[in-house]
Amino acid sequence: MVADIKLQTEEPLVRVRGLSKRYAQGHWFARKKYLIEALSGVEFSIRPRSTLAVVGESGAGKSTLARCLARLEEPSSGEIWYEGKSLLDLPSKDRLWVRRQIQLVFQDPTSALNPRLSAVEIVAEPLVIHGEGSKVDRRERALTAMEQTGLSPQWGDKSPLEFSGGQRQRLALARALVLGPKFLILDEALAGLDLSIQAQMVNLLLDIQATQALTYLYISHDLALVSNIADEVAVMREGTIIERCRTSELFNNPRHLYTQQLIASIPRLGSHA
Amino acid sequence: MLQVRGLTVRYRPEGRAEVAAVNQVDFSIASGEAVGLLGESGCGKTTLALSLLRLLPATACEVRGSIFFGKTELLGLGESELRRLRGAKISMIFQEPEISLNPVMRVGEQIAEVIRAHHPKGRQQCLDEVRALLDQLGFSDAHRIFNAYPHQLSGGQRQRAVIAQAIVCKPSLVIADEPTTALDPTVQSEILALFNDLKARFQTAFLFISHSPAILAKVVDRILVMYAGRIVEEAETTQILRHPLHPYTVGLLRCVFELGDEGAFRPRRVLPSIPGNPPGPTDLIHGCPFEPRCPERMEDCTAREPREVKLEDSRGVRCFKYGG
Repeated sequence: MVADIKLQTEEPLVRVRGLSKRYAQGHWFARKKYLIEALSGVEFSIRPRSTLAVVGESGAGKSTLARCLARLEEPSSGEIWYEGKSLLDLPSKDRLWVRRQIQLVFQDPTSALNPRLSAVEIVAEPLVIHGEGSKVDRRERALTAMEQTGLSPQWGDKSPLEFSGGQRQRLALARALVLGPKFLILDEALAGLDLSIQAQMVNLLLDIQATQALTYLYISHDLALVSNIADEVAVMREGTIIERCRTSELFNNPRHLYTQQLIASIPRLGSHA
Repeated sequence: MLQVRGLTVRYRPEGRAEVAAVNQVDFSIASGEAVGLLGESGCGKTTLALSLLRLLPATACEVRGSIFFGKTELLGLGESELRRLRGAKISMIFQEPEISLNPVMRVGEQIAEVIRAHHPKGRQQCLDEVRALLDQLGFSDAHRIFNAYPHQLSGGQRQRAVIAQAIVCKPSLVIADEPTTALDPTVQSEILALFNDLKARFQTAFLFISHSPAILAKVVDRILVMYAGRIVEEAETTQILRHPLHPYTVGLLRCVFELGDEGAFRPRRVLPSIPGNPPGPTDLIHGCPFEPRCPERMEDCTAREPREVKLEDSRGVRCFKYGG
């Protein structure tokens, strides 16, 4: 209980208020465009070293949210605060600092990894971009990051195409970790993997979170997986968060009808076992 | 109805050594039976499915064994005979409905095309049959679906349209390769319910491919577990789920994310997983292919490959633990 109170009083690492994103749609030379509201009035905060999962079906706005937080997309309105700084009007000298702090891991590692580079070059690329260290130094750090994600340093000179799906996702994770970030956005990062590999990766993510004091935003449509990784869950539907609470509470006592439907649709072994 | 004996499929990728993707596989499917094929990606599930319809890519250099569909040996058929069979007697549903449908043709027409390819019926008669089928498939607005183009439909509706295409000629076997993987969870459970409904109504046999035991548990009567191109365990669904025998099956079932009893949330813990990765097609295998990842490995395991052991109630398993 003591620990709980301490956690709750801690300043959130990320705070999002009234976040909205509208896309204009319509034929590219049509005069009248209609607006699609991908996010409307999204609010949440994430405590340091905890995991918030955002669940919902395709089209709910989950990926738009991820892209807004990683500043790949400009939100239409709202505020994003990171460590007490507003991300949306950041002085230019701090922009690189934020890019270092917040990293994004995508669903499909195959298309996220450049096949013309070797594994170690891929992991070292963020270091090159941020102008860190000498060549030898960067290689060293990249190999350490690979090792952290359970990839043997001996595989450093292999092409990413020689890795299996799970290993490619480990490589993508190593690249995200190499700059020593604090906040990781995982957008359906385990969705395409086999169950046995997913379980390995969940263990790895929890492990890295504990040792490196990371905060996760985990985006997924898989509630069963989420129940094993998240401290809090936010359920999204049509661009808004309709329910947000602690993971145990969500599964034991889902309030919203839609959440109840989502939980009921999880395929289970129950009836046979 | 379908009898596969000693099926081996070998690929020769350009400039590389030959590899066996499916290795000495035996199984059968009775008419009206729903059989599941379970395994991780890369274990040969899709190759096995494609070989039943003779749809393998050109890099498949060798297909050996026998596939009897009723009294017909599929491996001996010519291309024109195969065309008569595909879609009419055996049909296939793929993972992504987006790429299975023609984007410039109305959905109703596409489904009718299947009938016209196999029966000398008039266009109007075919379209009427399709309308009747769409009504039966539980589309809430069958008329709109009929006239829509694929891009105007949601993922779930598209998959329903693909399913309609697969069953419109009332085939005796439908092969479904991960048909719900690309869908949202609520839509997925609707499609699984539809499969159960079809099974009861059309007496069609299904070969249902999935990497998820929880999904198979909802639709199939019997499960074949595949690993490294071999079938390592075979039993009725309930038996597999209650008492899995092969260490691989045991591992796969443990990896299913459980919500705990009665949906109660279980707090964080280290999740059980199968260590390592399945062998790639080019990896050399000594003895049992699962040995490097097996928690119960013994001395014999690397010496030779275990034989299939037949147990009571049509169960089969390939593991030295059971005398293989």
